[in-house]
Amino acid sequence: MWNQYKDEQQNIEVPNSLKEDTLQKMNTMTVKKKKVFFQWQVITTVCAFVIVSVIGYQWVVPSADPYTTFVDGKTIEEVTIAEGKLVFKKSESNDRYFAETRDATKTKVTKEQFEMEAQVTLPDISFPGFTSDAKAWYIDTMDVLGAKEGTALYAFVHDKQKINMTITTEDKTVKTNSTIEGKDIAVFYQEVLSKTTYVVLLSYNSLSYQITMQGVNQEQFIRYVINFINLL
Amino acid sequence: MFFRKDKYPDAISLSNEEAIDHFSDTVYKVALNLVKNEADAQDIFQEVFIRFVKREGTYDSMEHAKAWFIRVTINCCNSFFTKNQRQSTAELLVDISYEDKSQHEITYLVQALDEKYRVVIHLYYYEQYAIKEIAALLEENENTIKTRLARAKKELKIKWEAREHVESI
Repeated sequence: MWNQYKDEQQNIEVPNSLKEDTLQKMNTMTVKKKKVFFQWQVITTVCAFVIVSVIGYQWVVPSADPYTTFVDGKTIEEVTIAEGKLVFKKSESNDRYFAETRDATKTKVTKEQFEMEAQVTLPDISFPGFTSDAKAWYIDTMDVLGAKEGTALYAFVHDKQKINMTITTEDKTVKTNSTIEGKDIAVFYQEVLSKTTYVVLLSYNSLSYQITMQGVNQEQFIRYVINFINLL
Repeated sequence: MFFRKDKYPDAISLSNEEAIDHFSDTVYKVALNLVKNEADAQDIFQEVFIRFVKREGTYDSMEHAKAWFIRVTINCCNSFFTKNQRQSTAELLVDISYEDKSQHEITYLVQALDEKYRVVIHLYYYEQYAIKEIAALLEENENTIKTRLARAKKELKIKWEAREHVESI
């Protein structure tokens, strides 16, 4: 009897149309699932990119008005020089002058340009052995200040006998103490732009000086700044 | 996934075509045996294979895959019964019809049994599962399966003898 049952069951066949129809539905579902999976991958990647971009932008890009912090929230008047390459800025409160490049190439400012526009007298400093690039000093980029606002902007100081000078590098902080006789100088800001490019912002007699040098090492830059201060 | 492959080095993954090739017969016959209606059996057949696509997993072996298909088929049939409120009874014999009834004598008799007996008979005599395996598939006690099998055989024997008696007359 059971062999007969087995035979009978074996005679029952699954309709081919059912198999084909089912297989078609299965394949359609598989394709849809792959599409959905791919879409999720795309969405996830885009979201990750946006998140990383937003975080990266906030971390890298300077805040809107770096001067605000520096001049205690006071407004700044813009004065544009003839070539249009630089904008000199003066705070309303204490007549400090700043210069800012309009492009990222750090266009040089000659002493004459600065004297003419900012109406301050800068010492003529040169060092034997420096390259021409290294010797060229210029007032530059307040946007550097903005780039590190909140972390690198610190007014610190000084007394009449000594300047504490801190050069912050990418991987370490080097402190250098220099004694400057009789100068009431504040170092507002120092930054290492690269291993051969340095910037420092000084204040003396209500005037501010920002010095940026390229093609020098840290020691040369410090010596230059100290000599600069000595000449003020 | 990797963990499972490490645990079961022979783990297999079936394509849609392979699944249909290997298990369409089993699924269809279990479904037909339970719901006793070709149209419903076909619906259940499709439902089972759609669940297979959704599952996306690997199987430890072909036997494991087959057991999975049977288990899912039974589940789908149970859902079907619940949904349609039509637990199978003997009088539903008319639901299924074959072109040549003489070729399906025993099948008709089996399908006149209660659903819980039908599935045991089918798995035991056609799919050749052991009582222990059927108990695992149906999530029942082995003794329960033995009892159902014995009762089903007894009932079938009575029906078979009655049929022979009628024919002799």
